[in-house]
Order: sequence, then C-alpha cells, then structure tokens
Amino acid sequence: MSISPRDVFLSELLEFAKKDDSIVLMSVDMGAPALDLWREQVPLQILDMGIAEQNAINVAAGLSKGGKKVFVYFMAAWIHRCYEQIRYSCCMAQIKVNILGNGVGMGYAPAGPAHQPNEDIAVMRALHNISILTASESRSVKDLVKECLESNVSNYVRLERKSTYIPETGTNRTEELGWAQKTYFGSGKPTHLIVSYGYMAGRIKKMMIDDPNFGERIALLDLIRIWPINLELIELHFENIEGILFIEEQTKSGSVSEAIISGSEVVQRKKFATIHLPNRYIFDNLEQEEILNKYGFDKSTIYKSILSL
Amino acid sequence: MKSQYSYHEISDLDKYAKEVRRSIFNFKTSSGFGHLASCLSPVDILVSLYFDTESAYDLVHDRVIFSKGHGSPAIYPILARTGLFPESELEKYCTEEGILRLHADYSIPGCLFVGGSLGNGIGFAAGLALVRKHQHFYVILGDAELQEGSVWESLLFINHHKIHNITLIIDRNGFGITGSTEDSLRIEPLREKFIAFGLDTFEVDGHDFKDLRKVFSVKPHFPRVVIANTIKGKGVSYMEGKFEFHTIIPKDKELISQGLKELS
Repeated sequence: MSISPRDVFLSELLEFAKKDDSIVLMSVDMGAPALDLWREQVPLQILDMGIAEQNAINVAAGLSKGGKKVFVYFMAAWIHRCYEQIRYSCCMAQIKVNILGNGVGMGYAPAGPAHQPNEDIAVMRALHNISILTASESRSVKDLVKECLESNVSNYVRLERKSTYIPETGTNRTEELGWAQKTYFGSGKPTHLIVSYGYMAGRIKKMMIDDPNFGERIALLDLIRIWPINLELIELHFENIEGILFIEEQTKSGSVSEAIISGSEVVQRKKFATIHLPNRYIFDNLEQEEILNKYGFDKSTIYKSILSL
Repeated sequence: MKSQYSYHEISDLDKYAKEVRRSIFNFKTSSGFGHLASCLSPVDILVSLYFDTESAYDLVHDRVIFSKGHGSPAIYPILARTGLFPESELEKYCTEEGILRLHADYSIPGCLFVGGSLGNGIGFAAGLALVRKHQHFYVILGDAELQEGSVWESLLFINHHKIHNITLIIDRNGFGITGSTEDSLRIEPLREKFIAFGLDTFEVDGHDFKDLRKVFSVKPHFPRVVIANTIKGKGVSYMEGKFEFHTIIPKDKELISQGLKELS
C-alpha cells in the first residue's frame, strides 16, 4: 500500500520538529492523521489558523521574520486566494515561508474546478524568490522536507493527494541532475524521453514497470524542482534522445514545458510534443484517473504520441 | 530606552510635530512623489510614541509597522532624528542615490516590512508579536484600509491568541482615495466593531498630545486598538480634510510657499 505524500511529508517534518522547536506548522482548515500526531507530540509548534488563508500567510511571514521555520499547509487550490500575500509578504519582502499545497492537479476530483488547480504552476512560477517543488512518490517526498529546511527562499511544495504504488524493482537505472531524476528500465539506450513530474510521473513509471515493452526505448525524466529550472543541466538529459514528450497534469498556458521549450534550443532542434489538460476549468463529474484518461493521459495515447516523434 | 530628544512639555511636542510635517512637506513637494496628505495625518501619533517622555515606547525593542504603507514616509524624519540614517537622506527621498522610498521597506533602517499593499502589515505584525514577546509592535492602519477583508481575519487571530504586545492604531482621517470612507464602503460604527472583536478599544484625538499620552504611556495586557481621529493633510489649511489631496502634491509655487509658512 502507499501512504499519501501529505502524510509522509508531515510525518517526516514532525521528526525534525521534535528536535527543533523553531519549526512551526500552520494548518489552514485541514485535517490529517499526521496533524493529529503534531497536536499530540509538539502542540506548541502547530497553529490552527481557521479558514483564513490571507492572514495565515501574513502571520507566517511575521513568524519567519521572528526566527521561526514556518510551514503553511492548506489545499493547493487556495494559493490563489492568498496569492497577493505570497507575492507581497513572502516573495517581495524576501521572507522565507514554506507553503504546502495539498491535492494538486485533479487530485480532489470529482470535487470540481474550485478544488482542482490546473494552473497553480503557471501562477506560482510568475513570482520571484520562490521555488516550486514536487514529488512523484512518497519516498522522494522526504527529500523535499530537507530542501525546505535548508533552502534560502520560499518554497511552494505541491503535495499529491494520492500516491502511485511503485514497487522496488532494482532493475531501473537512474541518473539525477538539475533536480530531475532520469529513470530507464530498458536494455539498450533510450531513444525517447518523457518529461513529467508529480503524480503523473509516478503513473508513467508504473506503466513502465507493468509493461516492459513500454519502457524498452523510453526513459522518464521526473522533475523534482520544477521551478526555477536549471536549463543547462536539464538539457544534459536530452543528449542522444530523438524525441521528447512533455506530460503535465496542468494547462499548457504557463506550464513547465512551455518554459523549457521556449528557453531551450536543444529541445527546439529535436522532435517534441506535449500532453496537457485543456485550457479551461474542468467540470467533468469524473474521478482523477477518469479525467486523465479522458484527456489523453492514458497509456495507449502516451505510447502512440511518443513513438510518433 | 527613550530618545535623547524626548519632550515632556506639550508645547514642545507640538513644535516638533510641526517640524516633522514641514520636513515631510519639503521632501514630498521637492520630489512630487507619494501621498503627502496621508503622511501628514499620523505625524502626532508618531511623535507621541517616539518623543513624549511619558510614552512607553522603547526605542531599542519596540517597532512601528506601517500597514498603511503609503503613509509610511511620515516616519522618515523621526527615524533620522533617532540616528538610524543621516537627515540628509530626507533631501534624497525617491532619488536614485537615496535610500528612502515612496513606500517604506525592509531595506530602510528601522523598517521591518515592505509597504504598498494594504491589509497585510497587521497580520505580519501579529506573527512577529507572537514570536518576539519582549517587544511591542505598533501597527499604523489607514481607516480606508479597514475595508480589506484580511484585516478582519487578523483581528480574529489577534483576539484568539490574546496577543497583548501589539497596539493597532487607526489613522482615522475619514478619507480614502475617492472620498469619505462612509461614502465608498461604510466602516462605522468602528468602536463597536473592535469591541465585538474582543479588543480593548480606545478613541482619541490623534492631534492632541495629552490624549495620545493617556494611551501610549502604558503598555497593555490585552490586544489593544486606538482609534485616532485625525485630519488628512493636517497642518496645511488648503489640504486639510480634502480627499483630492490623497495623491495630489502641490506644485504651484504659491501653494508650496503657503504650506511651508503654515508649517513654520
């Protein structure tokens, strides 16, 4: 079974918090088993903020200025509600706050578009002095905790609501460079590359494990720090690759792939394609998997798309 | 710690406040940038806090945070007087070689936050006060700023956590950029609202040093709000109570000359 990235992150952070009383977690109208542990074990280091995102970010900035290591936890969709405060009180004021957004992409489906942010990366990457971090599986979420504690800038951590269970195969070859992990299960050298992140990357990795043919010529590049991107290092992953398919559980406008494609001559010289959610709010009465399959994130469409390059 | 330039006599405080207004009027009219009338209304509040011998304000530990960022240049002559930067910086306000900006920010000695977006300084101050319990934070809010919903979120938070080392000061000059606050989006009855939010609520004449001394001579044990009734453009007769001067700075030589004369 797989524990949700949210609980992995909060549990890992709790271990640090037990040893460091400057770590503060602010919960904005959220419940989670891991939060209960915080309340039991470090009650003075968790603040319930009510349903008040704007104030939460401003208070977080004040706490941070006062010397605390602050984490604000709410539904990812609510970053839009306190966007001004993130921009003003954190980014512009150069005050570090870690923002934990739970349930990115279609994670809360079928709750509807108010709960399903399909443009959060676009809005957050428009800001300065902030990193966007994400993880495709629970194991790598722990690295994000460490990064949040050590980095000098604010972080927006995109926490997937669900985690794809990925067995330890021991057969893959991984290469980490530029905050991205390239994984390949095939026998020879990969000719094609899928670039993705978060839940979608985990989903693709599972497709490769479940079907060896799928991963025979195709490698997966799982972006972990999706903004800002070190293009020079990311481009090294593209060497000897013929075709690149970018897959994002986001709308195309303002997406990560839009930034990579427009900024990289290396990509522009290669064959590439993209799969995104439609540029609109999705009111479909479907669950996450059903939405993804409906809009071309299914295995068959992905396989055809990349091999056509 | 008190400033070595503190005054006990009300007449001396009045005199110094006029000096501060004159300084603000000077650098604002010289540069032509900012919100002159909004800077003139909170001057007596600041002078009372910083330079009244009876004020409980501690120069070393306590801090003023302008949530109403467009009024923050009002504090520049005062910070200069306390020695945080040379008085010559005032002449360089809003110039490339100067350090003083239209909205105060953390790059300016004595300023902690960033200015320019309303409704946020109060929450920032609440967080800071929660951590730095040995300090007292005086937050200057504009009255029109109270139309921002985030202010009321912060008031709930301050009351819930009984943050006692914070004093909210409302610069109640009655006007926003488009006119009376009561015409644009009514905020009255203010006193009742703050009481309902659980704050110790005081109402004073924001230009009467005796009145200001009554509230600022003690540090509270409960979250406190001071509604300071002020006059927008205070000290310059043709600007007083005229909302049109929210963003307009006199350019006419005669008007400038008259303003300086009235502030002398």
